[in-house]
Amino acid sequence: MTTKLNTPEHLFQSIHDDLGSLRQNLCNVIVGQETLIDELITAVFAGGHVLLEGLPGLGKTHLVKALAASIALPLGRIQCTPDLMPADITGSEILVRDEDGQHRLDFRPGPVFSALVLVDEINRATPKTQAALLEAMQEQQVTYAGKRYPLPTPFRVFATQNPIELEGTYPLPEAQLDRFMFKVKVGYPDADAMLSMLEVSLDDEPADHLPATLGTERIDEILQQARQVMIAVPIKQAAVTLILATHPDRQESASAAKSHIRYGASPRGLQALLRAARACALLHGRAQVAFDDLHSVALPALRHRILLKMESEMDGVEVDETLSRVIEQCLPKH
Amino acid sequence: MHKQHALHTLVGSVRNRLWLQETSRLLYLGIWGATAALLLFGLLHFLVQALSPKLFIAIALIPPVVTTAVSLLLRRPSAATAALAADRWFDSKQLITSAWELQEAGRSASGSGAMLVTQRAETCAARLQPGVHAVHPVTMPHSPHLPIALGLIGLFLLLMPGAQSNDDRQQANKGIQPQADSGLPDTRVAALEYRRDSSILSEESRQSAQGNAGSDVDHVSQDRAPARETRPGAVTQAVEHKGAARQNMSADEARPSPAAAGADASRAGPATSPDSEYAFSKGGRTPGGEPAHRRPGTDREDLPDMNFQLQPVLRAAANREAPAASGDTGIELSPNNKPAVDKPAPALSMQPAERVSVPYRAGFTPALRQYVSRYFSETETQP
Repeated sequence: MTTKLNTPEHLFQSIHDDLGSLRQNLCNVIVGQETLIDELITAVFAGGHVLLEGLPGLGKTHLVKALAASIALPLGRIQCTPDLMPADITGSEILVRDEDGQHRLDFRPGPVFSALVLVDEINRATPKTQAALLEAMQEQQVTYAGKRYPLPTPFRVFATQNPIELEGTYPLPEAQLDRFMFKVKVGYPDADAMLSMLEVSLDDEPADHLPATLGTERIDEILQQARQVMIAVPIKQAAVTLILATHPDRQESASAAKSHIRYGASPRGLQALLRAARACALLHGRAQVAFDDLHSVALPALRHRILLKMESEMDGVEVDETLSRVIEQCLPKH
Repeated sequence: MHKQHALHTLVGSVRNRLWLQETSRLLYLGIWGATAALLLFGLLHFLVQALSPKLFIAIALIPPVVTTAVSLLLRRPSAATAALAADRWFDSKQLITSAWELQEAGRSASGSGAMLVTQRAETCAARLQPGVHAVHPVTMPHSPHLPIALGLIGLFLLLMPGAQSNDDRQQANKGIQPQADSGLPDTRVAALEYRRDSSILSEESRQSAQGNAGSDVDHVSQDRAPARETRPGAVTQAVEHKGAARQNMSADEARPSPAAAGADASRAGPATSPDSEYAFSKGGRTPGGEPAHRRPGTDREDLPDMNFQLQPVLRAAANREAPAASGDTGIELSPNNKPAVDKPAPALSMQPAERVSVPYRAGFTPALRQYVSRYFSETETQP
């Protein structure tokens, strides 16, 4: 059994099976959101943070809780409000008395010190509080009183926001948005999915007793194998072309980008794109990235990294529509 | 070992196939180029100017030859391109490309992902190799039937007899311009004119011989003849020189009474031939005992212009040279129907150029002179 698992074929096959089990586990809880679940798993195993955007009641929080239960990782939750302070997220020093009766300041980690962090309604927090997440998300550490506190590994932030309710909110700055690998949109399930959801979660919260399919060690193995996935040069070239095509002032820019985009995607977006493509390939049991993977991850990886022109926004032009045209124009079909 | 070569074999096969496809694509364009050239040359050859078929067929073949050569020499796809094409053809999700890249870079497949890619690619290549030729045959982008058919039409036009160019036409026109020293066969022209006008002259001589004897019927015949010219259907027979001469010689014996001659002339129908017309106009005398004969091609209906043009010429000629011209019968006629002893020798013993006077030759246009030249050259060459 051990010999079999050591061969690359069986190693990747077992990973594919495990990820398939995780996907099925989540699909049993969150009905009718297969694409959303795929994107979430991809982001998790690509090492990125996810911004979930959707109306209330669509199961964003429920999905994150189900994921945490499925992969058996601790989940910290932060409910953002305008009066939330950075220390409420990162933690703070409190005065404690030790066994000798001496008083001293001891650092008490905040909810950010979890493998999975659910930041609910992140756009309700003040910019100062939002900025407290920057260091945690990018450098996976927290600095408090001049002292650095590393965050656990893996560390993933799942933030949710309501796209409609804008009063009393603080839209995330571009620097903050760029830290998220994916911005996934949670849509309405169809009628069949809603009927199935009633069967599952009418009287119960299935995420509370969801069996774990992956352990911490297994997650580390999968994350390691995700780095072994081959990316051929034509794939890299296509990704670079796509990123440059989102810039309106570049020679390589697409026509849609010239018309509607004010700022294009950053190099961090290119990294996120290829890392996500690798995880997507792994999810599909492949050891090499295909153009299809780029197609799958391009939209969630880039939609929050481009800014539309003011007049385009006034005209009601959607980011997804513009980006889809750029993707269709730049990426090969196969 | 076999599997390790499978990827190379597959990529090589796809590369060759791509190369052939590119060649066929460019050849298709070249065929269209050749077709366009053949059509152009064919139309030029057929309508404007005669072209050398061999040369222009060779020129028309340049586009397909050049495109094929360019494809064969310069457009060979790279192995990486072939690997990408193989992935596209077999929907192998860039497995061939990734494995080919690993092998080309010379990297040892140390990582599990690289090892797996190599293994899967070799297995996949061995499985896909037989389908390369079957699934992706080398075909042209479109059916070449249309350009080939058009090219054949152009080739047909090019092989047909070409049109005369403007230069050729000008050269031909120059060739038939009357020139003083052009060396035209004057003697032959004169001979032909002599043949043509001999009957006129015989009629003229006959008329002059008759002028004295039958002057009483002149008015009758002169009055009748123009009226009968409009009567159709009168076909006369050609007058032979001998017959005319004989008639002139025995004009006194064979000629009936003037009344009968007038009746014969009126029975013979209209004097539509220039000869008879001239005979009527010349003093109103009809030929003695014979009706006014006509030669084919000299009817007024056939040559309406010639009648009006020839009359004054013949009148002038008859006025000036009637005695000399009548000598072609061999017997010089005189007003009293006696041979003129002091006149030159009979015209039949003379060369045609000597016998034909200048005013008769005035009826030949340069084109006619050219035709005469051709006529003699053709008759001389025929056995």
